[in-house]
Amino acid sequence: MKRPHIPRVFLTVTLIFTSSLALASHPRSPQESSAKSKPVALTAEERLMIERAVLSDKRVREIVGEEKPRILIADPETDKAEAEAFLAGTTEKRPSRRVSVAVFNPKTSKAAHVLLSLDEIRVLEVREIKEDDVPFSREDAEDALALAKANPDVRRAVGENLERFNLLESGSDARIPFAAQALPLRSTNPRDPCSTNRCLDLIFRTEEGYLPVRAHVDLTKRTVTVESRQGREKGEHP
Amino acid sequence: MNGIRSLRNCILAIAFGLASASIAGGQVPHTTAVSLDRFFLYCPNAIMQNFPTIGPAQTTWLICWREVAGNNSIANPNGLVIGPVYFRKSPGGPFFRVLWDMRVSDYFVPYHPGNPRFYDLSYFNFKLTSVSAADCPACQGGGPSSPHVCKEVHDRGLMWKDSGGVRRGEELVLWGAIDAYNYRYIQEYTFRDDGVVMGRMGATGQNLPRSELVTHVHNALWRIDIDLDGVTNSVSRLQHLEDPNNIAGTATDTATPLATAQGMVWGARTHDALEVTNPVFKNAQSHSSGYRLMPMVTGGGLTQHYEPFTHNEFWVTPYNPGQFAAKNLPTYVAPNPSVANTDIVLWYKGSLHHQPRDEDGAYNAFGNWIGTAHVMWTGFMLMPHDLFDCSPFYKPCP
Repeated sequence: MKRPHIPRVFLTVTLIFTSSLALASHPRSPQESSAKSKPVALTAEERLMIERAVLSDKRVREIVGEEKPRILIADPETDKAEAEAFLAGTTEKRPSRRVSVAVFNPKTSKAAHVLLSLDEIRVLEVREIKEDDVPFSREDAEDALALAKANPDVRRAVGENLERFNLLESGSDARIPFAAQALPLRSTNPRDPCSTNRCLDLIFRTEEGYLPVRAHVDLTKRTVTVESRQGREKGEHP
Repeated sequence: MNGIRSLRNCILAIAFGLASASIAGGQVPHTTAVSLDRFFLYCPNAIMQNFPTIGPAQTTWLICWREVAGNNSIANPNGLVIGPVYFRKSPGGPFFRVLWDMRVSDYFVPYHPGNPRFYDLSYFNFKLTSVSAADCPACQGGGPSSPHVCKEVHDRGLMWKDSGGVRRGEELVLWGAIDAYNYRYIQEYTFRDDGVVMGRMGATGQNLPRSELVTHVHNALWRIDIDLDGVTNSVSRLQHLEDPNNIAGTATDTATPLATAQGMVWGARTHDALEVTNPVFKNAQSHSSGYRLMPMVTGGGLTQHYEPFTHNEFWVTPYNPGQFAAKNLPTYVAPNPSVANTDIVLWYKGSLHHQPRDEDGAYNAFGNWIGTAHVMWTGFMLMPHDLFDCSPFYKPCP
């Protein structure tokens, strides 16, 4: 076996070294870099475990009551300080993930915020929150649609197809022919019940577009009114 | 022979070590290091983008993005979330952090009659809608990065033009669109070759059924967790002061350091901006490097409404992992927490005044609204100030 010459060794080293520096100045292409994509959303199993942990916590029940509440789970967030350390390479430990959960009892209007460690499925913090800090859920929208379907004014405005309307989730690509959609709202007027109550407007989309109807639903009072058309306001440009 | 092999391995190890250190940016003190391997491990959607896109790289962005699509958009707002983001201002230099988490906190839409008043992101957990080759075409440097997020890399127009020549710039744009049912809100984030970051809201879609002709305002409220080379940051309010009755025609610029969390009104005539700095982050000229938050206002005004969180365009709060709701900003600043030499979060409200026009649509014979409102834009810019020693896109630094 022929012994390698030193110059050749240095040539090899130089080549590798310059290649390494070139890598630093011309990194992987964006296409290569962004190729991997792991889901960051919760799995169904994780959701179930979170729900169990929340429902079994005594502090939560003390706030919202013993009835089965609505549970709204946010996407997980990583601990910032731990993530910084991981990114800097000063720790091997993956940053822990935490989840915010809103727990709401629509009958009592009582709500709790729960912070959980997702890695341990352990409740870290429980505190009472205002109803204002609870987003609307699919159940709220279903409730509103059921109230609207039972309302004769909505039936008159929407017509005989009212029963065929179903809720369409935001972000869904489904092309359902009769889609009902819920828009949450708040009022600033203290005389308006929606300044304190949970209110939604329902709109109705068919394959021809939106119907000229908006059903205003007060979920707290359980009332429905059909919005009349609002035109251009006085004093505005035509 | 073994000795030579050992020597070769040793030299190789040193060579690789030097190259890795260069990549990781461990050579410069006071810089929050990032390991590229760790970055790609941490971030499911990582982008490394060199500029210019052709020829040797001069600047590089390292961008992490993700889609948040949970069921508690008040605690953790849904949509396209950007961060962490690192920037490298020269090929051999280190990456430094610019952003930890940048996103829209909410869209607030009050109608002129006083109601309805919609919270078009937080209250109903709206999510991103799909993108396709039709809205993210390859001919514009685009390609879907996921079913809901488009990435475009393209020319951005003139970078500079003087007596000696001209140069065009480039940018990377990430965007997705929130499906707020009859409306779509485009969440767009731009990373330019010169270190500028921009965030914009585009509002488009079908006017609200039964209120198609009613004027309303689309307010976007961004939460920008800025980390300039780490988390020890401070912020100053910048203003240009000039009296139009002053015959001397003089003007002054002021920089007022902010000690506590607060909200501030943006003044159209005073070029109001917020500047974020890090006490140990300086360029080679020993100038403190900063990033300035500047509004990109469309239509000449930023509206205020009854709700206290709309009374200011700028807000500054200390970082708190539990504070994501723009509607609660007055509560966040009420205890007057310190924002000096700490981890800070900037908030910005941009407004679009939407006075319906015939171009939005018209009623057909059955009273149905036919038409869609074309995109209107508003947003903000994060512009570097004394970040570079001089522009890397002109002649070499003197």
